[in-house]
Amino acid sequence: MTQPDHIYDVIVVGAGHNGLIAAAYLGKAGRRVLLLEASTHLGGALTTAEVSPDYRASTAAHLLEALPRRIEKDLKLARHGLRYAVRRVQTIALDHDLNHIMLSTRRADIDILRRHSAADAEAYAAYAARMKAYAALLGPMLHGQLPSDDAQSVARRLRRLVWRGERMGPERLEALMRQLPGSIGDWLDNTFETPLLKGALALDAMLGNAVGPYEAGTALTSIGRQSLRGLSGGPHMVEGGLGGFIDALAAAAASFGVVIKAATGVKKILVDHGKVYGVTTHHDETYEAPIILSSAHPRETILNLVGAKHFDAGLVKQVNDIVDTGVTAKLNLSLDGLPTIQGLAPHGYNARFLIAPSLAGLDDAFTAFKHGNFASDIPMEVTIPSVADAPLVPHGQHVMSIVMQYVPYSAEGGWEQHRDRLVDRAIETFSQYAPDLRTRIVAGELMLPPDIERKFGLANGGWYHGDMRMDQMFAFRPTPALARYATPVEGLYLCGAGSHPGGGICGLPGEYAAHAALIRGGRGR
Amino acid sequence: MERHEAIVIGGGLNGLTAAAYLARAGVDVLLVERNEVLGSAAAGYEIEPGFHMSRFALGTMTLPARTVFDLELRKFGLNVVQLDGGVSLMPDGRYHASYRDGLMYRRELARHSAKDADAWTRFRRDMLRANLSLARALSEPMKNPSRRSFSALRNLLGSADRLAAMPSDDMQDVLKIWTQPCADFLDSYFISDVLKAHLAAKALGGTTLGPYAPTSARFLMNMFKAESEGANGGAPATVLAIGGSQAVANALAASIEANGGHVRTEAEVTDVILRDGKARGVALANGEEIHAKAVLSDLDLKRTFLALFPWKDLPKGFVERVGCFRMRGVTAKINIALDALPQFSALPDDCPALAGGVRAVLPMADLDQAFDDWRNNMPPREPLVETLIPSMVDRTLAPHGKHVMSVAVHYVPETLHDGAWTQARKDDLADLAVSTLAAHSVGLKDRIIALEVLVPPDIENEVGLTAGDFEQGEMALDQMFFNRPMPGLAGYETPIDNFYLCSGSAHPGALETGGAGAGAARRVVSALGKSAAAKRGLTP
Repeated sequence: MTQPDHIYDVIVVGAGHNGLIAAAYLGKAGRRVLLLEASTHLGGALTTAEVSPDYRASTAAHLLEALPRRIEKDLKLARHGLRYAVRRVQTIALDHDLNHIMLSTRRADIDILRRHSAADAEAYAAYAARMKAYAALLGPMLHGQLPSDDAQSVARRLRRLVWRGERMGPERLEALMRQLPGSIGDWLDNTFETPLLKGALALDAMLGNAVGPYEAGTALTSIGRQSLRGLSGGPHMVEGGLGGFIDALAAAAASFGVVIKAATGVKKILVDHGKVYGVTTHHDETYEAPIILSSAHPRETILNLVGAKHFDAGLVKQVNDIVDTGVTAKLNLSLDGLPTIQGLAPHGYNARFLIAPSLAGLDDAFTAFKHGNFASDIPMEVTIPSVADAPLVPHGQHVMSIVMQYVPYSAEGGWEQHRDRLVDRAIETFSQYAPDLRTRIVAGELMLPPDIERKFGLANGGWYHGDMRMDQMFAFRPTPALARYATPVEGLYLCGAGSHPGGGICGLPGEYAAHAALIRGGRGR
Repeated sequence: MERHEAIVIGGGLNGLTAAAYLARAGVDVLLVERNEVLGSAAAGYEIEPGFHMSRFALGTMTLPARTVFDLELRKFGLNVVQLDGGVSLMPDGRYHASYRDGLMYRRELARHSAKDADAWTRFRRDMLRANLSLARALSEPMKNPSRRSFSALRNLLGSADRLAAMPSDDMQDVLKIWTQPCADFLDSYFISDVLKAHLAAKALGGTTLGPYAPTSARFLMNMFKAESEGANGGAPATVLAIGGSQAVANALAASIEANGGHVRTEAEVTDVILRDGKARGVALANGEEIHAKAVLSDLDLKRTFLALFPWKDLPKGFVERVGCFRMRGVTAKINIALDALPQFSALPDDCPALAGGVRAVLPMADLDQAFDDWRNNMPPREPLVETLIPSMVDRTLAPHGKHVMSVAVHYVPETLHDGAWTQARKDDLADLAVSTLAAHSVGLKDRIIALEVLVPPDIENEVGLTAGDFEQGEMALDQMFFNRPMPGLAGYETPIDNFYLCSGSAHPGALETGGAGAGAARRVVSALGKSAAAKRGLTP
């Protein structure tokens, strides 16, 4: 007999940001919620830890760029300690000739762009405006609630899309029709001439996706990212790293009465007559609830936690076919001082630096990645969080946080013999812009795709619980039958990044899943 | 002053099809072709006295059955044979034979994997289903969704409703075939690497995508396009025209003339005559002028607008947009005359599938490497080699006992990163391709009487396909359907009144041989205000 304190209205499996957000919304709605996390720390891949003694930084992801303001308000995250070290982090594309390009439409920044190309300086504002318009048009489809699963609602949604498209006017609509199914590379080639500008915009659009700049679908990806940023106004840098964001979420959840148990891994989700009734943990404790949300990868939830036998073969195959591809590595460096980035204004150090000198370079890096290698010049996104967030490090010291794009999951002959070369290449690549970087390094930490997989349970080290590609989005994420968070097993819901609208630290799968559970799940007990 | 109702510039299969449909609709049409033989890329030649073969294309018959029927091409001498689907050879000597007969093919599949034999039924059904919905889309004329017209809008809303009415599982199947990489898609059906290599090679040969590139899966549909009556669960057939692809062109020409149309060869058009912004006719290289109410171009988009018009007569910014149209050559052609039939040691004696062609295929990763070499403007280090020996079934092509071998090599770039295509480098490519085949067929080299190699630049020079692109414009999603050749130009009209595009640069492009010609003809007939009866003649 389960003791009463083991009985809840809802159990949420996994305390990643989506699990926390789902739990918080359910708690806010008056449910008695238990949130179980296998690891000793909350937040999954969003965590702040020591790179080396006294030097702290976001271990994996390092920017908050897609969290809708609505969620921030609903959960009163500010009150629960969410502080931003930098709001609206500037994005700077570093240039060998020190004319660094700031990706913004401010006149001063456009003037710098003019040094590269007058034509591009003219074209940029129009490009930005066009991106905005496309994001506004497609945003509701890309990250809004899915229409309910009947022809009428879907038709209504599609018809609205058509009408709003018509209202954009023929010229923009034609351009969109041409660009949407195409590649960001062709789009940029037809718009700009400055290699650095094109490279940076492409990297910005594809970071974390295992696709090349000239591959179909990348235009859609970039529009999707743009529209998510629209919701958050980001990217933002969180005080205390992304661990700070998780602490605020946990505090918010707790304030809504959510019971959070870390170091309590779920072994099985218990099903009886096609209905969930609880979970057993790895310490063989049983917790009961009529509604269970899982933020784990759909494959993990369906095949391992619940068990394939509870689903029909077709669904199991679809879940097995979900593709995850790791494409990034993370390098954190402890520095005994601020490296000098040549040609950068003093106030520019709290920016987000993109290193992608050209589309051709990106494409070569992608080709190398496809064949299990990495380029000698590594495309990367770099931040120095300690500039705006001094408490992360001892006085006068710094940490550098580097996301490397196009690093394969497995390298020829095993990673061990390539690890050091990768680190060296990364440092070398950034040193082209900050020659004194090497001399400042006191310690460092590298996370390869396999490390990310091991540490955070992200399959193949992919970020998103299922690559964000056209056949794994919208009502097809993770599969048509599971797309609306509910599953064929009564009371079981998916609330992780594997569900619509997917990854990118937007928290929307958690929020939408909570709503779905509240509607379908009624008043609970 | 010579006058006609319509003039078609260029005698490729699309131009001929357009002219044939126009003639059948009672339009007084003249087709002018620069070369002395018709067919453009489908043209044949005599590589050696007595050895006839298709010079540029591989030489299979790709004209859809509907066109053959509409234009009564059988009556005009077209004779078509259906063969087994050919043989694919792996570098390690393993092979996969494609039989049309369901039971034989099932046995062949089971030889590699019993599971795959079952999966084939599923795969085949899904491909046929996908083709069916595609055929439905191709059957209705493309509208410009951006055009501010009620019909265009109604069209869009209609397709929105059709989409919404689909069960989401089916919708995802459509998305998968249209957006997934070929390799992932095949992995979701099959186990055998030989089978997967065979299917990938058959699907991707001649395309500008590699097996791991998004949207490459859709090419798997194409091989099932011709599957219809007579198909019995096996592999798709290879279809040949007796006399080669030249015979197809000739039959079309015969159909044109039988219906009162005219065909003139060795007549090169240098300019389209414009008067107050409207096309009025064409000017020939010999200074002759021919007038017409409608002018159709079977040249690719770039050649049409950059060569036939003074740029100042084109709307502002149009030349730039034409410049953005992606055209890239991927295929080199090698023509070989043989003094005996090559033997393939790996295959059972006189394997019936052989007549359908022999393919030297590559494991997925190596195929992708060949693709990346192409992207880097390098000749392939390990090429994908497709061959056809039409003389095995068509005795008219070569002297008794001797044979012609048509070889297509993929992915071969138009320009090399380190200088031009010299004869020496072309010979290296030919050697590489022949050695690749000789690895499976000892003594092949000694049987060669004559050999010609054509790389993309040669193909551009000989038949005028920009960049040697047989597809007359990359068949990428952003250059297909209402985007072909560019948004706003779907439906064969151009910014010039009375001037139409009927080449593969127009919808449906390489999706259907002659499709653009038929579509343009339909458009022109209604523009010329032909009788309803005549229009019916176009769409039985």
